Amino acid sequence: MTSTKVAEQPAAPSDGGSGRPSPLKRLLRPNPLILLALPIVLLYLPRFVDNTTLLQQIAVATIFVMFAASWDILSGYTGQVNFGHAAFIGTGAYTVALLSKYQPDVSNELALLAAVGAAALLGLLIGIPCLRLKGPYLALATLSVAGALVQLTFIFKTQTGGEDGIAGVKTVIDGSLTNTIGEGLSKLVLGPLTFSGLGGFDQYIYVSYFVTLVFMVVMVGGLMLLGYGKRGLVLRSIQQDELAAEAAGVPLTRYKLGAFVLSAACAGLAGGLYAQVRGTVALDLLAVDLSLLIIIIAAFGGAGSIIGPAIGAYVVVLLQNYYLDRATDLFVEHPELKIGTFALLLIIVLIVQPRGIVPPLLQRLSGRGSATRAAGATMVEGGGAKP
Amino acid sequence: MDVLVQGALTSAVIALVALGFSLVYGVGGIVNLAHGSFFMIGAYSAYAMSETGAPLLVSAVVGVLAATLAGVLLERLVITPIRHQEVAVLIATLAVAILVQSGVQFFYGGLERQLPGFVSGAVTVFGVTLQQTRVLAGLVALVTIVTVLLVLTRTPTGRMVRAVAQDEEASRLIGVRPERVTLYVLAIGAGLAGLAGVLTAPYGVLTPTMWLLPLTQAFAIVILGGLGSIPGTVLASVVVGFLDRFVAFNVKDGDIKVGLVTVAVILATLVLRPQGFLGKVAR
Amino acid sequence: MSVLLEADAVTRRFGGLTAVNEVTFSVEEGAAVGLIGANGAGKTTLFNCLTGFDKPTSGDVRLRGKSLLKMARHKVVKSGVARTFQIVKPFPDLPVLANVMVPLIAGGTKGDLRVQAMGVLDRVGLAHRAASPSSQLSEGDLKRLEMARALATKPQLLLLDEPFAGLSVAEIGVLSDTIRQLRADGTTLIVVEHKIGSLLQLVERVVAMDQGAVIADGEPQAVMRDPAVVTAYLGGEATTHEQH
Ligand SMILES: Nc1ncnc2c1ncn2[C@@H]1O[C@H](COP(=O)(O)OP(=O)(O)OP(=O)(O)O)[C@@H](O)[C@H]1O
Ligand SMILES: [Mg+2]
Repeated sequence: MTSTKVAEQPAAPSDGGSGRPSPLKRLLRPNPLILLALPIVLLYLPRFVDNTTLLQQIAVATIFVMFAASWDILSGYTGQVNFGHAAFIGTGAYTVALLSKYQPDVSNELALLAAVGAAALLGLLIGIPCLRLKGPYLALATLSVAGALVQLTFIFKTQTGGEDGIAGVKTVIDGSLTNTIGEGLSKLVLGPLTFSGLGGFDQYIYVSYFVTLVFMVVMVGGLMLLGYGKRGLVLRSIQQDELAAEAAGVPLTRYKLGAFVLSAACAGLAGGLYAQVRGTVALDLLAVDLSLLIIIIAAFGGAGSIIGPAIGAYVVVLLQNYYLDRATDLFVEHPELKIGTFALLLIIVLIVQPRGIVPPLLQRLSGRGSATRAAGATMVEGGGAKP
Repeated sequence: MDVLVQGALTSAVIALVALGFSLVYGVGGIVNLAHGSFFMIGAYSAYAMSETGAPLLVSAVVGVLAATLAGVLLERLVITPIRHQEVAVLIATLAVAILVQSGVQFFYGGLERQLPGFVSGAVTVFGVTLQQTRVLAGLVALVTIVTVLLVLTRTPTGRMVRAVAQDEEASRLIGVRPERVTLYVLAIGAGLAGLAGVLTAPYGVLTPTMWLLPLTQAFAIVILGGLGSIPGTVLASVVVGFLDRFVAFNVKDGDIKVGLVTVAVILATLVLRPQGFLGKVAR
Repeated sequence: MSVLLEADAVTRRFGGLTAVNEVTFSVEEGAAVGLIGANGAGKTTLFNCLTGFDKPTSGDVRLRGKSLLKMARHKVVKSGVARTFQIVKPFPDLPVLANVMVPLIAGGTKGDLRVQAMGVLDRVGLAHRAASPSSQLSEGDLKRLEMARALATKPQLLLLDEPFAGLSVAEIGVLSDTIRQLRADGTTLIVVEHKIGSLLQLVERVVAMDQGAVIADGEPQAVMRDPAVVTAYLGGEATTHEQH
């Protein structure tokens, strides 16, 4: 009796009767077709686009996808909004750069591991005092830690190069893992002969393109599995109400700290890879500008969904590094105006549409009313405004 | 002795920045990440005026007024529409800080600038030789703070502000409009921060990222002193001010390590005593 | 019958105010105890102390002889103590079903969590709302959700803080049945409730509190007739009336 009843029940919420996917289904499973299509399109894109400048900027954008997704697993999911994500990115990047400068024998792969370790450690160190903090306190604490790291680079100016940064970092070409992945995929997509016939710099661009793509797919895929699985649900519950989560038996500290460390580790990896793609590191990797840019990306894409910030990163970063430069010379002569423009846009968006741009748009496109809130858009409203 | 005199002067300037930050938090529940930008706007506006050949005193007044105006604009245009969304306010004010930074960089480039001193030469106080500009800055800051504290404690307006800081709902019942008070406090806080920017401009350096350190220091002070607590703010300013000078004098390359020490203070306080050492529960 | 929960001289002070004052009592396994008292008597504060959500200023709380005070909150839940909140605390943006899945996940439940979560929702009569975001529930449904989430932790001891507040008579009837079923399944209950009539149909023992202290403890009818309880309640009523 009871067993049949229970067995029938789950069908009810998933279909909901109206033919539309239920909020639960959306929450637990984003459309897998779209998710598979994206990396495949990106994989074969170089076959049709031979503008290497654009491809190079897409590679950079792919790195930013990792920055944004790693930010999201902490900030968008648990609601501990990090205002200094650059601290983790920069730690990863400088770890790789310093190793390359002082221990050139250390392999690139090991350097990336070190970047992950260093960033994760920093995540732990910041995460512990931040455990009890909310909203403004967390914001200021994370912001000031990133600021302190900038100062550290000045204190160790001889090592870090101060404002000039470090150049000549070993690149993806110099790492056997990254080079194998990059070359293999380049030959697969472009054809082996075409690739071999390219100049060294073009080869480097293609290798960067494919390496960043592979890293991104693995990282974002992993974060999505986590975020849309059981643990993701627990992280969301923490954002919604910490006390209620504890009453439900959630080990709050473990999850919050875990999210902090994971977010930091992923950012460190992405930052380290960025150093190997650029071949240089500089203060822009620690600056508040970068931290804010990530928040901008998330605000446009919708936080708490991993995929939202990931798509947002492509839009914002390609605008910033490619399309804006071609729109007007003003941005070429004054690159600092780009972040200013984005900041201004963000302010306007926050005032007129506090849930970000993409999530409500998607809702309208897919015919969902505002009745059910997209899981992705809760950052600004639900993130910290506790009475 | 060096540290004592210099520490006192630095504390006064820091308190000028922190007081506004803390009051705005206490009164409006608003953490304004653009607070350091008022400091920068004050400094750069004064610098811009002095570049046009205006007398220094006029430049200084313009600097303070510009910062005050910026405070009013920020409150009206940005904060008011999203006042009750804490995280949105944080993000928007950080965006404003970056917007201002980007604007300053556009007009003045990333190079370091400096305002000519209001006074030059050195004086000797208690056997300590000091740049006169620093002494002037410290003294003006001190007088301003004492005035602000007197206004807060002795006048009806001040009592109204403190009433709102203590209990917004209750103060609404007795006919105070907290929104109004928030605007005033933000404007005045911005002016105070702008004044601090003007005062330090002759001996600090002006760069587009100069807003971050005062913001961090104000945060450290608020954490140490407790939320919205006025005596706490003043006392914590003294602690941070002395620490600042102590590090600057006694540690190699101290000047650039000041920020680090501030952050260490922040993190240590958060671990040891998140409610601050003097104030209400800080969460 | 063995003792499940013991409160040993539990005291909680907020500054000058003593919200809970030297409260001592014990609850046997399988019992159903009502906890009553005027507004501000300290019932919720006592609940918080019993479940690790607040630390008593002094005194001890023991579950099967083991102190709960040094335990993290989720460990308290793991050891079999669940509670609901007087002011409901749903995860508003999560669907109802997901609300109930969280405790199942946290408890390391194996198998299909959705099926099990549906089963729990069924027990409180909320299965038909499984797909709705909890922000859309009525007050009555929120109370049931609060209870479902507590049940999903599979508690041996369940503390309910005013489960009937805001519910209609019919809704109270349904929830009472659920609670009785729980008891029959062996769950130990402590229920705070102002609706004495409904409460007395569920419990066989009542503890009355006034100004933080226990003023009566025992057989429901006896407690309700206790002069101290009568005065405390009348006094409490009087102040409530004055406020209105
Ligand atoms: N966090 C706190 N800080 C200060 N005082 C508190 C706090 N929590 C409760 N109190 C006070 O402790 C006393 C007991 O409150 P409690 O909420 O436990 O009462 P209650 O019996 O649950 O009342 P009700 O029936 O209204 O729910 C009240 O006077 C209340 O104001
Ligand atoms: Mg209560």
